[in-house]
Amino acid sequence: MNEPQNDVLVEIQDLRVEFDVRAGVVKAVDGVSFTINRGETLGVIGESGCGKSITARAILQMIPKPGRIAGGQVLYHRRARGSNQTDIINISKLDPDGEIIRQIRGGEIGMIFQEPMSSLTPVYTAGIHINEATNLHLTPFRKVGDQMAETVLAHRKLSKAEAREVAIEMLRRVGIPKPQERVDSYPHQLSGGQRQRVMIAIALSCGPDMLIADEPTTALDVSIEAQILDIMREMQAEENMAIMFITHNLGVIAEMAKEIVVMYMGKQVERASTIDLFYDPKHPYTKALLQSIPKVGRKTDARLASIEGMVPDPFSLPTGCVFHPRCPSFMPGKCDRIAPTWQRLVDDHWVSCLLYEEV
Amino acid sequence: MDARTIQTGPTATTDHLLEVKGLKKFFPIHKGFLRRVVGYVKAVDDVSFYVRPGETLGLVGESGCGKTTAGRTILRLYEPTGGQVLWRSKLLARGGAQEVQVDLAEMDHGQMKLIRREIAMIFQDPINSLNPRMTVGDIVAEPMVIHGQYEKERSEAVIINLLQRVGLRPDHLRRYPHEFSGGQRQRIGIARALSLNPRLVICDEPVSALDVSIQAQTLNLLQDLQRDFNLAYVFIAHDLSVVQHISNRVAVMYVGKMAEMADAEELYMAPLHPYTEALMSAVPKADPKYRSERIIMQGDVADPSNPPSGCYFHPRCRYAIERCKQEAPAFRALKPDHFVACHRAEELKLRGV
Ligand SMILES: Nc1ncnc2c1ncn2[C@@H]1O[C@H](COP(=O)(O)OP(=O)(O)OP(=O)(O)O)[C@@H](O)[C@H]1O
Ligand SMILES: Nc1ncnc2c1ncn2[C@@H]1O[C@H](COP(=O)(O)OP(=O)(O)OP(=O)(O)O)[C@@H](O)[C@H]1O
Ligand code: SF4
Ligand SMILES: [Mg+2]
Ligand SMILES: [Mg+2]
Repeated sequence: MNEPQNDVLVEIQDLRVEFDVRAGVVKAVDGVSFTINRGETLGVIGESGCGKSITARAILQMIPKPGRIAGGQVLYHRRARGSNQTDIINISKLDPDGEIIRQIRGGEIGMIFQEPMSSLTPVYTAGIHINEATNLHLTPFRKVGDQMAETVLAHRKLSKAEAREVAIEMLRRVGIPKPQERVDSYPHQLSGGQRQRVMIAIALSCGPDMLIADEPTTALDVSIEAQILDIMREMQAEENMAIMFITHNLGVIAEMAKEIVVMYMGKQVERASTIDLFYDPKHPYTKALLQSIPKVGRKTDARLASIEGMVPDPFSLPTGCVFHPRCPSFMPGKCDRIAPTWQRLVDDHWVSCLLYEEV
Repeated sequence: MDARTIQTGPTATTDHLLEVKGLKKFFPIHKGFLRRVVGYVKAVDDVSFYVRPGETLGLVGESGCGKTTAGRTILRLYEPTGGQVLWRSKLLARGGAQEVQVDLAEMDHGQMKLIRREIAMIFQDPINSLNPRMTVGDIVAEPMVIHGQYEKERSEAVIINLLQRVGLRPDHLRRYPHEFSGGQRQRIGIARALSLNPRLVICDEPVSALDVSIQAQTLNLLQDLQRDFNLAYVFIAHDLSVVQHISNRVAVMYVGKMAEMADAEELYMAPLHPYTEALMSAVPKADPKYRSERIIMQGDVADPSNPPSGCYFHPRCRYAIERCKQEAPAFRALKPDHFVACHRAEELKLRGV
C-alpha cells in the first residue's frame, strides 16, 4: 500500500501566468494552488476566460506566447510504471522543448484540448516542437490514423502495424463507426464531435498517469458523452489515472469529479468536495453560477439568472475582492478595500471571501 | 418508398419562413490513385423541417448525424445533392411585393449574396471560422463591408454595441482572436453573425464554450433580439437543457435523417421516437447525488456511408421488430405539429426526462 503522501501526482503552488500584450500585462493565472492525486478526478470550473486552460497548459509547460510563468511552480511526482520510487520534477523549470517534458507530454500526461483543430493558429506553434504539436492537435491534410500512430510510436515500443492496430482499437472504443476505414480519413472529413473523439483516443492511447481534459465532451451528444465518461472512468480504475477535468457543464462535473476548484479572474475562489460544492456552496460567485443552470424538464418562460455586470478590465482590476463589483453580497467599505485570503472553513472546504473572514 | 416519405412529411404552408424539403447532401468517398468515387457519405439524407418567423427550432442528435452539414447546405456553403430549401425573402421581392418565396437551391451567386444578409450562421468551431490576422473589430465589421453596409461612424457604434451585448468590452476591438479564451471567441462569432440584422440565424453550438452564467446572458440576449426583431433561430446544440430552454420546437436527427420533431416540452416529456427516449435518458444533471438511468444503446454507431436496412436505428433500438429491419419508417405527423419516423410510435409508451 502507498503512503498517503505518495498519492500526490501533481502539485501546483502559487502559480502565476502573465501575458505581456500591447495594452499592459494580463494576469491570466494569479496565484493558484492545488494538488491532484493519483487515481482521482479534480474538476475545475469558472468563468469563461478565468484561466482554466492556461493553468492546464502550465502543467505541460505549454504556455502560448507572449505568456510566461511569472511565479510559483508545478511539481510532478514522477514514478516509472511498476516502481515505487518517486522523483519530483519541477515542470516550470524544464526547457519547454527539452527531452524530459516531451516524454511527459502525451505519454505520461495526456491532454485533450478545448478546440481539436486549432493547430493552424499562431498560438500553439510558439516554442513547441512540431512533432508534439501534431500529437496534441490534429493537423489538417494528414490522415487521423497516421497522427494517432505517431503518438503511440513516440511513447511505446511497438511496430508501425501494431501502432495502427492500437489506433483502430482506440477509435472503436470512443465510438467512431467503421474505425478500420475512418483511420484513413482526414480531419476535415469528420464531424466536430468525431474530431474531438479522435483527440480523446490519442490522449488515452498511451495509458497516461494523468489526463488533462479541457472541455472534452462539449462537442458530443449526451449518449456519446456518457460513453466517453465511462471510458475515462474505466481507464482511471484500470490504470489509476488521475484526471483534471475542466468544463462548463455542471452536470458532467457533478458526475465525474471528486473535488472541485472554482476559479474567477485567474484566482481560485472556492474548493470543496463535489457534494459540498453543490449542496453547500459558500462563495457568492459559486452560488450565482449554480443558479444560472437551465433545468431540463418542465418548461418555463422565465429568463435565466445571470451574474450582473461584466468581467472587469484586466488592466484596471477592481480593488479588494475582484468579484465585488458584481457580487450580490457586496459589503461596502469592506469588499472594495480588503483582498480576501484563502481560508479553510471546514475539513476540505476552502474559500476566498470576506463573508467568512473576521476583518 | 422514398417519394412517399417526402410527401407525408411536413408540407408547405404559407406561415413558414424556412421550409426544408427532402434535403440531401452526399459527400463522395474517393479511393486509390485515380481518386475514383467508391461510395457516398450520406451526411444529410432526405431531411424535411420548417421554421416559422420569430421562432426557435432546436436541432439535436448524435455527433456526426448531419446537423452542421444541414445548416451549411441550407446556406449553400455546400451544394445540395437534392431537395428544396424554400425561403421567404424580402430582399428578392419585386414589384411592390413584401416577400417572395424562393428555392435557395436554385439561386445564383448574386442572389445568394443577398440571401446571406437575411440568413446568418454562427459557426461551430470558433477558432477555425475567425481569421487570425484580423482584429476583432474587423471580424465583426467584415459582413457589413462585404455587403456594402459599412459607414464608419454608424457602424462602429453598432459594433461596439454588439460586442457589449455579447459581454465583450470595447477595448477588445483591437485584439486578435488568439488572444481570447474559447468562450470569448465564441462570442465574437455571435456578434459577427448578428451584424447585418438577419431574419434567421443558424446557430451551430453557439454557447457550448461559455460558462453557465455567460451562457445565460447570451441566451437571454438571443431571446431579447428575437423579441425585438422577430428573429428566427435554428439552434444546433448538444446541451439538451439549453435547447429546451431556448426552443419553441425541437427536431431530432439520427444518421442523416429526421427521427422526430415536436413542440419542445412535448418532445422532452412525451417523446415518440426510441432514439429521442435514449437521448433524454442520458442528460447529465447538475446534482452529484443523482444516479442516471441511462438507456445503453447496443451495437455500433451507424455508418452514414453504409447505413443499416429499414429503420436506421433498428440495430440499436430496444423496441425493434422484424418490420423495422425491412422497411424504412416514414417521417409522418402523428399529431398536429408532432412528426416521427418510427413504425411503432402509436403503441410504444416512452419515458421522457
Ligand atoms: N495568447 C494570448 N494573449 C493574450 N492573452 C491571452 C492569450 N491567451 C489567453 N489569454 C488570456 O488569458 C485569460 C485566460 O485564458 P484561458 O484560455 O485560460 O481561459 P479559460 O478559463 O480556459 O476560458 P474558457 O472557459 O472560455 O475556455 C483570458 O482572459 C485570455 O484573454
Ligand atoms: N467535407 C466532408 N467530406 C466528407 N464527409 C464529411 C464532410 N463533412 C462532414 N462529413 C461527414 O458527414 C457526417 C455529418 O457531419 P456533420 O458535421 O454534419 O455532423 P454534426 O451533426 O454537425 O456532428 P457534430 O455534432 O459532431 O458537430 C459525418 O459522418 C462526417 O464525417
Ligand atoms: S422503427 Fe423500429 S427500430 Fe426504428 S425506432 Fe421505431 S421501433 Fe425502433
Ligand atoms: Mg479554456
Ligand atoms: Mg456539427
